[in-house]
Amino acid sequence: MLGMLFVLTIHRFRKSKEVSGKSPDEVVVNSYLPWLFSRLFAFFKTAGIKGWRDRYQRWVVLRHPSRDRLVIICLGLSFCFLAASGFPFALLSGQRLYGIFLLLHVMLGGVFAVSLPLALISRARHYSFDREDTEHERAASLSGGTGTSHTPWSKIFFWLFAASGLCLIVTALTLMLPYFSLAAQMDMLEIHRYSALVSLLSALAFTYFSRVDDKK
Amino acid sequence: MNYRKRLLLILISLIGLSSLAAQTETKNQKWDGSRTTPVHLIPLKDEFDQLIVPSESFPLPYSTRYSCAPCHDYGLIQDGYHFNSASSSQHGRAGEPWVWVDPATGTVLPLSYRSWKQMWNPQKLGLTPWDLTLLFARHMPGGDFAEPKSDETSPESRWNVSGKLEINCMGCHNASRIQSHSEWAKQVLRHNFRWAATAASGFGEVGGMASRLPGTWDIYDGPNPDDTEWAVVPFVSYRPEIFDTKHRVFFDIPRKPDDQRCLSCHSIYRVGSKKYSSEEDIHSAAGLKCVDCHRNDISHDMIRGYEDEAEELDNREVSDFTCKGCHIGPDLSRKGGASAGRLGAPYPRHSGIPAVHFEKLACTVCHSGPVPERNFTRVRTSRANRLGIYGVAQWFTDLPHIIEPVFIRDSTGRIAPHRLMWPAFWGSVEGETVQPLKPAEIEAAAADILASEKHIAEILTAFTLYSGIEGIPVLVTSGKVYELNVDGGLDASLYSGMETRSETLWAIKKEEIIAPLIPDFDPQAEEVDVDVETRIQKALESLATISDAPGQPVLIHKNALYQVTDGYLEIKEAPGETVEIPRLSWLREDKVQPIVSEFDVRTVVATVGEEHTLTEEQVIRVLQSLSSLGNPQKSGEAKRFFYISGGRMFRLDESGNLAADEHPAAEPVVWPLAHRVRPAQQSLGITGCTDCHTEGSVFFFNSVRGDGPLKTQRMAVRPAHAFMELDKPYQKLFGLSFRIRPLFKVVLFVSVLVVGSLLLLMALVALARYSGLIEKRRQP
Repeated sequence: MLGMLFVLTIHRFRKSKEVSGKSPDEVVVNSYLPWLFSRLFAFFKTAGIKGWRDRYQRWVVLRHPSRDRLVIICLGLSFCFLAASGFPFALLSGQRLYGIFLLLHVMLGGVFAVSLPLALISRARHYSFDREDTEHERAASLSGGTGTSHTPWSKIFFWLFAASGLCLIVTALTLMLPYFSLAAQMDMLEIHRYSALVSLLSALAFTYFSRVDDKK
Repeated sequence: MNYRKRLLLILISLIGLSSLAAQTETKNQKWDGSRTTPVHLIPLKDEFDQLIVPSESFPLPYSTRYSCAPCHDYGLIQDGYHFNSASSSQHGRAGEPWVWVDPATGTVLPLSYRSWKQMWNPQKLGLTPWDLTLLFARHMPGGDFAEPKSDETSPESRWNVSGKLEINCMGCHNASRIQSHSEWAKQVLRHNFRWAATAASGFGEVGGMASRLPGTWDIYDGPNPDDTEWAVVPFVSYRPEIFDTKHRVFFDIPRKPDDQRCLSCHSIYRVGSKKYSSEEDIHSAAGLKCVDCHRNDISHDMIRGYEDEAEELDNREVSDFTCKGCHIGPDLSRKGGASAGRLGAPYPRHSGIPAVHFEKLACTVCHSGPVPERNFTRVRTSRANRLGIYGVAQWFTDLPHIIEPVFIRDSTGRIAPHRLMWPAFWGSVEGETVQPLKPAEIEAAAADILASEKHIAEILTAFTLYSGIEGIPVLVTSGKVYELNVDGGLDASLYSGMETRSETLWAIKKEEIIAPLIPDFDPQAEEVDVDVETRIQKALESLATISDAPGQPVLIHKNALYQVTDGYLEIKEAPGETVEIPRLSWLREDKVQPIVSEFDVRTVVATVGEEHTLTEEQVIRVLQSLSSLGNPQKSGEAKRFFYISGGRMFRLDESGNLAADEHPAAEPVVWPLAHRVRPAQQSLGITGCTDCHTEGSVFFFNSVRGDGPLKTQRMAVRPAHAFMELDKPYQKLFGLSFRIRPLFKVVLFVSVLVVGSLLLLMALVALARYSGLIEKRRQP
């Protein structure tokens, strides 16, 4: 995960230099860290209510039609909680989820399972690999519509997120069904864990790539 | 060679010889590999290692120590788990305690030499091995504290008369149906310790009672020809047909002891269940024997079969004999392993049961004991409730009240089903030190306070001597009829006759008709009915037979007092107020007192026919008595007396009222249960998660109510989730979530269908695009 964050920040760093007119070759390694800290500082500086309201405007309102917003918010928030509750237990405590976190994890897992297909239904067309659709989207985006332009990477990660999400839901469902032996359940649990990791990485990458080339 | 060298050589030679001798001895124990069982046709030896010839006069009982010794190391066996509670320092997981039950004083005290929680070490209570042997050897295989070393005798012990209770090998190993546990228990009760094994094995008939012999008697003294009625010296009449010409006896010893032998001391009875409907453990039903899992070698260190035993004993092999060892193997999530499938143990799929259950719960939670119900299952155990001793008298006891299954998080952090009983005992507390008092000490201090039932029973017994009438003497009071039972106590039944004129009525029951013992009459009449006068005289004469009576028996009616003087009924003027109904009383120093006190009547009404045997009023009086006797004002440190029952410590507060407090000593005693293992079809969770996970689940939200001899409303209540150290609101919420779980599964299934379809569609589109199919179709 740290590797992914590193790659993405390096990519963003080089991109920012390109934007400022400098050749990537001119980018020196020792200017990366100051840049990173300055970005982090800027992020936390705007982490107040106003900052988040602005982000909500930029990330949700501008990108998604009103009918999709609730689904996107539900998907995003449930995914954030699922990751925040699942990974610390797996990485730090070495135990499986238990207690109230398990209960919330299961409940918000349900929200995730409902909002993911709805989000896919509304957004699948925009992330289709069909060339003409993409051009259409770009045209709509440039003309001020709600459509956005998407890079191939954002599409790949969108569908990777969807696939890993499917794995997460399938494994969660099978763990609740009385058909699988303990050994099979243990395997399912492993698949659930790795799917969660893939979905988190793909979500990070998708968020990054869908923003970095966003003209809005 | 100088002197020192010679000495060294001799020393080395001696060590060599002794080690050789030791090797020769241990060779006897070695198994040659044959799977057959040797025929045990062996000569019987007595405790002096002398051959027993049954035709000799006054033959001694056989000694297992010497009869079995040529092949089996008795000393080694003595250190085995069945025989080492008093000598071992390795105690393992908590097991069932010995329970000292004394209904008269309301004592239900769990004892064990093993250092298990909430159990009292007999030594700290001042109980000697002799005391313990008399109390509990009825359900033990001999050895242990019943066979103390010679320097462990106490002043009150009579080991020289009774002999020691050697390990009764045949108690476990005899395959013959003549082996009798009841005979063993009866011989123990008669102090015939050295004769018990012989009697129980059926090798011979044992008569006499060591308990009636003077303490100076010794086995060397032999029989007493002067007393063949009462203090008869125990003797054995061997069955001559079991001996061959070489005086050898066939011991019917199978390779594996029968379960019947184990169950003599390890039966569990569900109170109220019928014999025909009692189920076997699934392992027994499948043909396994107890010893198939609970194995041991000659050391008799029996495998108990719990999860952490291997670690505690530092013997990895032991872990193969746990539930997991046989059914699953070393890896919980994978089939197979060195020990898996032993004796045909099926591999459990545990389909649909989340893995967390296998980390947090013992196998027995779902598979052993009764299925949890709103009311816990009351059980009796052989050792605690004296089961399996058959005879004319009823041996089993209702106390202690043991319930199961109580799910408790044990020291390993896992939840396991336990048996639970609440201790009840009198004691003193000085600072932080709690010291239980023996029943004899309480009886001495309580005097008549705890004898209410006895008082009334004595009077009814006296009336039974009354030959003038036909019927059963009874006491009618508070809408109930009290009559004598075969044990000398009282039985209560509902009174359905006419309303009585007095609170307490001594009466005669004949064919369900109850009539006053002394019918109403007019003492002022010129001539009193002769029959009435005869009844009065007989009743008074009967009462006069009571030993320790508080006075002379009299009858008072109106202003007349009837008493028997020199065999004649004498009529006097009654002192004090007139009595409208004939009343039997005691006259002492011109003072009249009722034949039974109101306290006795109150106590009997409150306790007879009830599960409880003590009232709060009795407890107050006994505590007052103990305080006055055992806490002189001059003593610097205040010693406070208490009575523990139902999970509360009852003490007198400063105003003399009975206060009930929580105290660690009042906490329940628990020990894990392992059997009866139910079939998989009856395991918990077989019908789904809601077997346990509901908002009103008895598994999580049952309550254990304090129980004990004291009749009180102030008993402790412990919620089941507290025993498991679980959070109640969370478990409620979690249980509630199972209401919507079916819907949740449908939602997930639909979600999987939609997302899967979209992904498939998109994959096909991507494939079509990158294969050029889409471009090709778009070209005109």
